[in-house]
Amino acid sequence: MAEIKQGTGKTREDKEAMARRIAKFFEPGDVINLGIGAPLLVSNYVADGVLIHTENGCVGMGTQISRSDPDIPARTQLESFSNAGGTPFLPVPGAMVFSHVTSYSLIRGGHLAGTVLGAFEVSETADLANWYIKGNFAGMGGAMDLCQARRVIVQTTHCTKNGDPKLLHKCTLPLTCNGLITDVVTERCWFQFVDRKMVLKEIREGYDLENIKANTEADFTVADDLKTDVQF
Amino acid sequence: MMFNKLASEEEIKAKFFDGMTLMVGGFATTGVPRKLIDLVVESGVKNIKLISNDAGDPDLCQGRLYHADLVSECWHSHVGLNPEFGKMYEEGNHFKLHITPQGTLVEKIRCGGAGCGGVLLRAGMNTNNDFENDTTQREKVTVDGKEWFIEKPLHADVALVRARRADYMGNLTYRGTMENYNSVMAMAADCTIVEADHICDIEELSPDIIKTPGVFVNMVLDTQKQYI
Repeated sequence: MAEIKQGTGKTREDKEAMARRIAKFFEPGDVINLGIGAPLLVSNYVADGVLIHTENGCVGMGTQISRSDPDIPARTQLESFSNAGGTPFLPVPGAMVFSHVTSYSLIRGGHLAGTVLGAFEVSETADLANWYIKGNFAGMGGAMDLCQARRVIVQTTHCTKNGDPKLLHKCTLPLTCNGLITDVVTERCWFQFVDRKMVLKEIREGYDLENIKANTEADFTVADDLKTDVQF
Repeated sequence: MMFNKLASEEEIKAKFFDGMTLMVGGFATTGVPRKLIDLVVESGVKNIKLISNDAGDPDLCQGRLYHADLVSECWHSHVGLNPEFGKMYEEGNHFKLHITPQGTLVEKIRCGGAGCGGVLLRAGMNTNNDFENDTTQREKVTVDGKEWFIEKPLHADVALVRARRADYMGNLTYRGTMENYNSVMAMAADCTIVEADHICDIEELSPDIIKTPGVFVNMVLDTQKQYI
């Protein structure tokens, strides 16, 4: 699959690192849903045989393509397959298409191995806020439904652009889901939620527990089998 | 000529009326019945109650209905594609918005088409959002110890549907991800009108590949009557 690129420099490297770590959660045969934006990078790193679901009705999303790409001869095909962000893509062999009814049955019914979503805020009790921010009213789209998947992984930078923590005691923005997140992966570490309690599982190479404590408002415990210096 | 559901632009426009509830298929710009939206704008009917996934592109899709200020109430899951919509929403006197999670919206439409009184869903449970059609205001029910929202059906007077191929009886096939809302909306309206890229003879679509049975379809926009 051709690489999907996002951002530059440090941020880009961090986004790629998060995507690489999240990709390791899945194995061949899994069907996963990736949110629009940085989570789509996960598709560059998943094992062969992991199929990508897009909620507008396809399992088997492949390379995203540009409408102006002269190497894409099948113009009508290009116009027929588009993902949840409206970007055209080429289906992989074995891909399937279906209606919205089937697509959301697949999500709610627990047929996805996982869904990867972005975040504005995450709370220590597994709440997520990712659909409404003042001055940018877009609607929740499918995010509230996707939170009902078996595994809900949040991929987010550890802090906001101003350096404020994003992992909080309590979300201040309207919630997308209440207590349904299972994992949070940032550019610094991986947290897992166990019975709505946040547990630190891994720390990435270059960061330490002190750094994470200083940049996290949420209360968390450290796993007995905490791994440090992990390469994301 | 044998019985068929082909209809002219004029026959289709006659089905539109002020205050109608209108479903429009499609997701972003894929699978949107653009020509039929043109006909709604041309017909000039007002106070439309619009049900569709998103608020559309202001130039191409159902966004044109907002551009012409023809909508009085709407159900969408996402409205970020249409910058005009945001402005009109903030002004506050154009339309009433019901922002609905996508999976909930599609199940409400399915119920409307399948004769169900409603469906039990959990999207947005305990999120306490402070919005119109706010999840906290919906009626809840507890079944076997689990809490659910009672989501009521949505039904339309007219549904506009886009297909790749249609035969004279309104049997439809799709291509790629263009099926999205089209097949479910086709079931949920008193009058379902189809815009197809290609119109075929009866035997051309094998019964095996038909995704939307013609029984749900009332009219197919005639683009080639001269060939019959």
